Amino acid sequence: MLSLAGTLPSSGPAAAPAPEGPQLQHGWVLLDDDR
Amino acid sequence: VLAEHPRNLQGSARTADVCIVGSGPAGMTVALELERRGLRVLVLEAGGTHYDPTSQAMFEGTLIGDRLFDMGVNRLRYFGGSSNHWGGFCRMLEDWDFRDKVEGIPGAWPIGRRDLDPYLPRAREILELPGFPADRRLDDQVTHVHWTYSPPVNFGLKYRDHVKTSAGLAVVLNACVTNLIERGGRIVAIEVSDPDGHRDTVQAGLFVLCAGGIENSRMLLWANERNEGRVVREPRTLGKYWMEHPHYTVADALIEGDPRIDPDRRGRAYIVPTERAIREHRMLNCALRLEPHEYEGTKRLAADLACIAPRLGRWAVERTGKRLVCGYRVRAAWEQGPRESNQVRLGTARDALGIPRAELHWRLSALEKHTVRQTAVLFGRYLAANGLGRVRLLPWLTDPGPDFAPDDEFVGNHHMGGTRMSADPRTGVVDADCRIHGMANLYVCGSSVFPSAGHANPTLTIVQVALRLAAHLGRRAAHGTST
Repeated sequence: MLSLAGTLPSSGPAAAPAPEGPQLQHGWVLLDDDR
Repeated sequence: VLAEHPRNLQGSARTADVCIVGSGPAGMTVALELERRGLRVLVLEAGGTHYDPTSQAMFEGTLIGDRLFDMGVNRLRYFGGSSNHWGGFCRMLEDWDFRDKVEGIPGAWPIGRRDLDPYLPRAREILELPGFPADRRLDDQVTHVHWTYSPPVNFGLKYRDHVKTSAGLAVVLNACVTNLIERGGRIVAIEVSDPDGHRDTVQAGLFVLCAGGIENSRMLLWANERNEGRVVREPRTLGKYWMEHPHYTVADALIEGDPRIDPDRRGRAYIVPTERAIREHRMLNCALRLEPHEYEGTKRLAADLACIAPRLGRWAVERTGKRLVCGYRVRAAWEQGPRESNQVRLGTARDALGIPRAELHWRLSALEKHTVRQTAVLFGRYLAANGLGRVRLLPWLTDPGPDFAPDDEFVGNHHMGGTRMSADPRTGVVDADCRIHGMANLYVCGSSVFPSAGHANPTLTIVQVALRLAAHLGRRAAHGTST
């Protein structure tokens, strides 16, 4: 139901946060069927 | 006895069983507990009874890195220490806050929460705390928690009259420590100076530094320099692994109403990640604080959602019109990873007594940004999956770059680390009893001994650690091993 893009660092604590995913729309944490 | 000046101390009054440096929550807690055990206690306070700009200026220093606060104003140099501007927020650290959370970030304590729990009842008495409401797990990723509020207790005001009439406890004001005098692996005396530069010495069997999360490091760095490295004999971590709690507004939330979330009497509700979430997402601990928006703010939030997700937005706008949905500002206060590079050093500038001022090297990192973003997303997922609402992260938080918001509260004025607690002298300054590794009778107390900080405001933990130290010192004195 919910497919947020991962926001984990790719490796270890120093890794930069991953970019915004398709389900984080302009900052909103949305469900697939919200739109 | 409350002495205005070190030179007011006559003869035997300059000798105590225990000498404590600093009269804030840590110092006064240790002092009062040892007085109760019948020991003669001398507390040295660098400032007077009230705020004084000249005294306060002794705290000025240089911040290198993320210049988000001013060392000259976010701690206080007078009787009661930083309890003079304490907000009263209390919450215990979690079990998992005493263990490593993220690989490569050394956060484990040599003690666990079970070692501090026995001191909670007495800490509640001292801080005048009501009970702690139970936490409520919302799903396997987020938990709704509560803070408990102290009135807040101001240690200077609360205990001034008691100190004045006490036979066993003396607080000496305007007594700035200028040196620790070491002989053969123990401290034999402390040298103090009044604001005019007049020097005195104080003798004791045991010494405890409770001068604050920057001053403890500064004092030890300076004493080590003057004693050619014989105070902290393994100094590789001295001043290092210094931490703050970042404080930022991170998101907004539209919530239709969740019966499982109870705002406290201040109208706030708190959300934290579960231990499982911390492990799964390789993050630190974090607390989100929900504060209700005004109605206009809720309307704007619903309108913004309508632009992004029209069908959902129509629902939100309609429910907002009926006042069935409430908007919240989501603020966060969270854990900073302990890092060697974040550290107190002695700077080149000197204060009025000739002591090098503190130079604090301090930066936030990608791990801190990851931690707060992930926590906000997890809360958003909980609301969405349960049909309770939606969360919108602020643009700075969704930006993949390293930057934080340029304008905010920034920090909690929680100064932690620098004299971290460890079982091994190579990885910390004090042992599990707060005694400096390799020193017979010199202890450190306060949040400077925290190896890691969780997300909780530190004062309750400071008082618990101080009570545990007082119990240790009391046992030690009873067995005649203090001299």
